Amino acid sequence: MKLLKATVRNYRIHRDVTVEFDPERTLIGGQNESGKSTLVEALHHALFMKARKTGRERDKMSSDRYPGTPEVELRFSARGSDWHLVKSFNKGRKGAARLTQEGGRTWTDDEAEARLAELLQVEQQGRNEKEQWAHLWVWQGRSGEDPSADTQSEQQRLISRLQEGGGAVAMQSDTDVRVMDENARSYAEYYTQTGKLRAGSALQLAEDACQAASAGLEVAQRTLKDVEKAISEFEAAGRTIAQGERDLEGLRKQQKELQERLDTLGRLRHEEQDSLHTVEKAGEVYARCEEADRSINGLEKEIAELELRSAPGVQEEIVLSGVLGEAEQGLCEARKAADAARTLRRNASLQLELARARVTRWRAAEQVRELKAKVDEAGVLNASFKELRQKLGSLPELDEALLDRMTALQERHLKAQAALEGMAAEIELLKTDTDVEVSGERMVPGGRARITEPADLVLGDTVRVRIYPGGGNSLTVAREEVARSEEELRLLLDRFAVESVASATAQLRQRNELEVSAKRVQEQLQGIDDGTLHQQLASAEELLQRAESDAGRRAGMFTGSIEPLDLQEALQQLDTAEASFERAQEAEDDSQKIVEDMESRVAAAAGQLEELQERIAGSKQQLATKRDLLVWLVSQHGDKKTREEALLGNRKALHEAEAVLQRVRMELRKLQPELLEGDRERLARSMEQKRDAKSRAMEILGESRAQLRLDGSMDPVAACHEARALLDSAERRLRGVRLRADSLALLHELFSEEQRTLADRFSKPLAEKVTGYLQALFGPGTEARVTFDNGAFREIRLVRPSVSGAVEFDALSGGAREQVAAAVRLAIAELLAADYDGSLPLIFDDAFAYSDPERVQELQRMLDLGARKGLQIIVLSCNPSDYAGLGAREMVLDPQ
Amino acid sequence: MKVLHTADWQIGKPFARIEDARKRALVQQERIDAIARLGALARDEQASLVLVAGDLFDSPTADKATVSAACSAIGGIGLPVVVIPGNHDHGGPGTIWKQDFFLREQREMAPLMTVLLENQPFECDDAVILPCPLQRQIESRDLTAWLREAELYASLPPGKPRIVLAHGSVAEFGAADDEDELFSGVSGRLDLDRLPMDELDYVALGDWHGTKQVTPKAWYSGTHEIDRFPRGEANRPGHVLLATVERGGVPDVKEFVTGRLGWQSLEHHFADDHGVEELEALLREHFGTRADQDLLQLRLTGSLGIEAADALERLLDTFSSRLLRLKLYDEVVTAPTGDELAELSGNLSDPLVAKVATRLVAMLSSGDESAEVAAAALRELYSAVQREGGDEAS
Repeated sequence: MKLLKATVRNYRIHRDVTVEFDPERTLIGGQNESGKSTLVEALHHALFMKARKTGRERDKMSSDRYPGTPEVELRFSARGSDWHLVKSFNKGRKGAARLTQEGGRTWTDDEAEARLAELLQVEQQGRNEKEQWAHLWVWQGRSGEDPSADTQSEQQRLISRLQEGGGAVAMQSDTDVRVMDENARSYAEYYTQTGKLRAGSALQLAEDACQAASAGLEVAQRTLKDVEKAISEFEAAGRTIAQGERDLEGLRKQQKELQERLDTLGRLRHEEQDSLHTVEKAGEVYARCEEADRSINGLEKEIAELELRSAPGVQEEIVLSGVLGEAEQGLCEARKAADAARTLRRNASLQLELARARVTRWRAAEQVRELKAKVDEAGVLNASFKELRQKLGSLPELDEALLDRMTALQERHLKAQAALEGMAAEIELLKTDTDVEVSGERMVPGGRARITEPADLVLGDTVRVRIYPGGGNSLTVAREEVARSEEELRLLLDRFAVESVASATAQLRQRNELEVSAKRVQEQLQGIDDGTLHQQLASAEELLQRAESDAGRRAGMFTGSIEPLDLQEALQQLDTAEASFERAQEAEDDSQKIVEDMESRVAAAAGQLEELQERIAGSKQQLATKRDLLVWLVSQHGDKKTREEALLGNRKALHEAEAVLQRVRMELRKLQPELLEGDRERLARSMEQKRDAKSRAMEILGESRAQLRLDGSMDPVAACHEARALLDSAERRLRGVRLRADSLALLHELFSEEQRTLADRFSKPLAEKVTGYLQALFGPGTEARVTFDNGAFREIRLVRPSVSGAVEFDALSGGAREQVAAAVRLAIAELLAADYDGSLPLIFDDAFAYSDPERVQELQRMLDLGARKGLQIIVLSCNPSDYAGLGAREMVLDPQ
Repeated sequence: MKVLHTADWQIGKPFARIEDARKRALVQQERIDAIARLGALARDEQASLVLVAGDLFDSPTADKATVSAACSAIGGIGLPVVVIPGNHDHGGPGTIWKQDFFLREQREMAPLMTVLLENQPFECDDAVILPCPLQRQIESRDLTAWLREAELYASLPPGKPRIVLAHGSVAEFGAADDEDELFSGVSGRLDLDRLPMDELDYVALGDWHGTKQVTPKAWYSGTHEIDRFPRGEANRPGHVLLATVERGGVPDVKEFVTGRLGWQSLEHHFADDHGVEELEALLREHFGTRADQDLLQLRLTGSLGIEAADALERLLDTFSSRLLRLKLYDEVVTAPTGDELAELSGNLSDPLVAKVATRLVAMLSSGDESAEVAAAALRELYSAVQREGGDEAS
């Protein structure tokens, strides 16, 4: 089916416009608002909207500008004939349609609509007419939308075409679908969308039941165990009690034996104590005896030693005394020397002070002299300054400005005079024989007279000529000017009592010179005296006075002290005095050191002597004491012989007592008392333990007995059997349910897989066709992928060599979407065209607005491919030059 | 004198594997009813005494209801009943024989019942009973040891027959191992060879559930009502023994059947789908149209097609509702028949189903647990497809 020619009248912006279509490629250019989209709409309405339709869509057709019914006339070819369609959209009953087959019949109105629908192979649907051939009409602004939505109505036809093309590929049957759906439903009872077990499903419940049964079994087993435990505890407790009784009997017997032995032990211990006592006493006596003897012997020895030791002491004493005496003497002498040195030093110090005072005085005197000189100088300068000032006073008070004025006035005057002269007439007497007078002034021959005002020239007596010098008034003015200026100059000069400007100049010069001198003098003065000069002098004089009195006082302390005559001498004296002082200071220090030295030596010697004397005294004392003690001891204990006898006797007594003790101890050892104690404790402990164990066992016995007193409400053994059986049947049931769930899941999985495989068989050929178009645009390596699902095509994806993975349609850029959508439409149109004599129109209304200009160039290849495959490509664009490469028939839409 | 010898009543046995509560109760109750049966028999045969050689109760901690039912039934016998504890109802501390509620019920409902808990001779009117009771859960020594003391016999009355009443395993037999034994305490040992058989006239044994003569004078009575699936021909439970004994003689022992419920064990192999019909025939043969009377242990092997497998499932479902219990060992493998395969995989008009079916069939031969899942999936698929066939037809 191809569009041949269309005429649109009274349709919005179009009054009457005709467009002829190329069978293969048409390019319609026009600016915005030139009615391109209106034309596209009109074509669609002509084919698919009923002429009698009312409503908003119809209302929108009406033109504001042009009255009259919107009308579309369309020539097209289909089913091997040419057709002429005229539709007049006159709302409601008045709308008319006429369809004429060239060289054949004509249909009108409803019949025409029906026939038209038949030709176009569409269902007549009043409501959704905008969807008709939506895959072929790319409306402006919608070129980037997913075209699979627009192919809904054509799905069946597409599939048939693809089936024919791919060679008998089986489609899923109704049974397949039914079985699959049933399976999906059953599967959904067990599993969620994500393949996880559904909570509350039969499988979940079976598992829960198993859990519960398992828990139940545990409980029953525990209960049974408790009963068994109680039984065995009961029996064990009984055994423990019986055994305990027997053990306690044995232990009691042992205890009795032990007690007997303990009694014996006690007795022996007493005996031991007694004999120990005896031994101790004997030991004491013996020890005392021995002690005394020893003391006496020792003491005698000590006395002998002491006597020997104290002999040398006395000699030493004498020597040490001598040393001490010498040291003391030395000290005395040193002290004397130190005193002398000190006195010398003091003297030197006073001398030094005097010298310093003299120097101060001379310095002060210098100062005063200097200042006085300055004062004199200042006086001179002052006088000079006064003189200058006086001189200046005698001069008139002129200054530069005044002089300038005077000069100016003089000039003016001179100028005025000159001017007057200029104006003035001159009379020169050349010859005369009478008296000539000019303004009363006689003239002599050769004389000149200037006349600046009307002047009478008297020649003799008879002739009087009045001469008016030229210039008229100006002469008078000039003359007045001269007079005035002279007056003014005179006034000024008089005011300052100056004779002339020249003298004023000279006087001014003088004045300036004087002023300069005066200034110079003033400056000099200031250099000397900043105002404080007199004060300085006064204080310097005071200082001098003080220094003088101070020096005088000090000098009074020394007789024969020589006064320095000047500062130089005073400084020399100071140097000398300083040197002396230093020497005296050093001498004093040295002598002091010697004194200290001597003092320490004395102290040392004295100390040693004292020590020795103490020692000697001590020894004497000791000796005396010891001698006394010895005497007393001998009186107490007798002489040597007596003492020896006593010792012997005591020793014998001691030995006897020890023997007795030994015997008793041996008997004790035989008894092993340490072990006895341990035995007693051990037995006590054992008995305690046995008693405790027995009472514990009795407790357990009691508890178990209580536990074993059943009330018969349930049988733990039977309960266990039942719990186990329950668990087994729950597990069995679970296995069954799980088997069912697994088999449903397996079926589900297999069906999904097989369905996908089947779908691929359909989607591949379509994808390949789209790929063919896309490669014309994007190059090799580009691939389109289409999903076929539930009998419909959807989900177009694009694979490009530069990008990994397939990109979904919606994720493409605006331009890419336009291009891919166009490719899909071309592919689908090509497939469908088989039902329409191999051709279908494809209308692109500004369909590549988002595509880059370079892409638009490459688009031409893709569009051209479509045309070569039989499609009628119609492109509308604001920039028809973009599509120059298409090689289409071009026309421009002019808005009328 | 005549004595009725029985043992291993195991009253109160829970039969927990029987899931249906009513059926379980029936099986439990049968054991009580059997007491009445043997009681009637004892009276008819003029026995003067009933001996229960241990395991009267199934648990040493039987509950009140069990105790009441048992005591009532025992009381209903109307004859003296002498009982010793077995390994299931041993006489240790805290066990049933000492509990207040048992003593009370026994006093009231079965006053003629005597429970012997000690190794002491018990004299009745017509005989002397020498009990070897199990006094604790685990007993490793020979329970008959006290019977070897010569002084014992000196104290016994000379004229009355002496009957040993013991529970345990004699040398050749091991303790019975049962899947239901939770509590199989090792039964006490009984060393019969060392007993002075001249002084003894009958040894009434319990523990082995099948009736069996061990020595000329020693017998196991077996349990009065069968309580487990048979383990071979030699094991013959469901009887009581009537022993005629006299002092110094050999006892004359007669068997009587008291068991009513049938416990059977069968096997069947499916070589092809016809096997299902064969199985049906077999089951009808064994059980006819009875219900609530039989328990069956059934082992199935072989392979079946999908429809045959469904048929088998229906068959088993039918019989399991009739039987008191169907214990099934099902090792049957699902292998779709040629026709079934054709319907599924060969069905070109339903390409998805065919493909999926083909893949599932391939998985069947893998031999691991995925084969089982695949078989189940295949059956699911088959029935889903068949369902459509039914719908479309209508």
